[in-house]
Amino acid sequence: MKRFLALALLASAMASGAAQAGPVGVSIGVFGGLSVPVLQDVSTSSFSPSDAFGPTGSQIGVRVPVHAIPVFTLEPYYAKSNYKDRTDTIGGISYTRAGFDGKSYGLNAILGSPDGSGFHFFPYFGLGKTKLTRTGEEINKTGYNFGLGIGMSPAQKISVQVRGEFAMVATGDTSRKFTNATVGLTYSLTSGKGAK
Amino acid sequence: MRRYAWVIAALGLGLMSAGCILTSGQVQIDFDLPNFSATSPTGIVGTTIDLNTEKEYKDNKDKLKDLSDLAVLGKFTNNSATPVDVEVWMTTTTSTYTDATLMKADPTAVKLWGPFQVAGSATKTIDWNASAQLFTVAGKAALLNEAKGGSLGDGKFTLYAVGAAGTYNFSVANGALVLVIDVGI
Repeated sequence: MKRFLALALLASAMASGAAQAGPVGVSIGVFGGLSVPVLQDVSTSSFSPSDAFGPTGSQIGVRVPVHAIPVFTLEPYYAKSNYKDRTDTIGGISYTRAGFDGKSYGLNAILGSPDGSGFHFFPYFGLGKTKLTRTGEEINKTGYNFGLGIGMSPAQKISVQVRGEFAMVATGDTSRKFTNATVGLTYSLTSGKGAK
Repeated sequence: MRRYAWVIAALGLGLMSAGCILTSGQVQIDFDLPNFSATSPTGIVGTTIDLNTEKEYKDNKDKLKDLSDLAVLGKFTNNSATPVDVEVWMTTTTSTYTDATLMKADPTAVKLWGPFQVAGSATKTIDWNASAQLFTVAGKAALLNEAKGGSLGDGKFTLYAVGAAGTYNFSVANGALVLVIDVGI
């Protein structure tokens, strides 16, 4: 969490620096939704396409979009995720393996602005740190994500976004992958470009 | 939006160049173990495993990068009135020891898992989460070498369940070795 705050402060500092050149929009938002493991702990001998997706988990978090330069919006984020346990019958006995608990923080680069006026799309990609833990296993590695968001502004200074993204945590030569679908609510703290 | 196309194209190229980082997955392979017992420190029985007999392993062996999760599962019955701490050892070359001391003296022997305590005259099915915590670092490394094959190992090894100390008499039923391997697709 401290690192997230540091990132947020860095982004804010960048924003204030860029303010000399033009209007800066700073917002704060919360989001929540679904997160689904992809191609994790699958059995290839009896594989069907639906097996590619693990038990659905949940994700919540906060984002601080800072629109400081014309093309990109920089968005520090912090998210927590929780994945369901998985039950499997092995050797005639039913066993349950705990799902991961995840914490991640990082920075998204959004093409355009997620909280602009009207109804709009915004692609984005992000880089951060993700920690996945469950009994007997811990992964604490660099995380990547990219996705597409749809934003609309139902009232002044408030915007609603729906995002679909693909996220992965690099584990050496391989990765743990997830698809996320979230809904977020953002409130603009400034009267800059992002405050419409 | 058209002016952003180059950024999206560059991002796509970058992700594709990540190769198997993006196109990878975790494959779970279950190896059923025969029922076996250890009636005393000089009455142990090994179980030889040949990973190559498992189709899922053979199909993914060349793409194997790491072991992400492991578990020894099964129903442990303590046939003695005193509690037993069960350990699983492996010899990376196949062997047929019946004496625990001689088995542990084998230069390729490594403690793989344990201890898992079973109360006297009790039967206990191990929990998957608890089992995942009981693997030793050295055991996991040895198992990974065997799984990777090549010069590191041939995928054949022998597992022994023994008591950590003293005399013991226990049996294991419905046993399984579960490996979750990281593979590049």
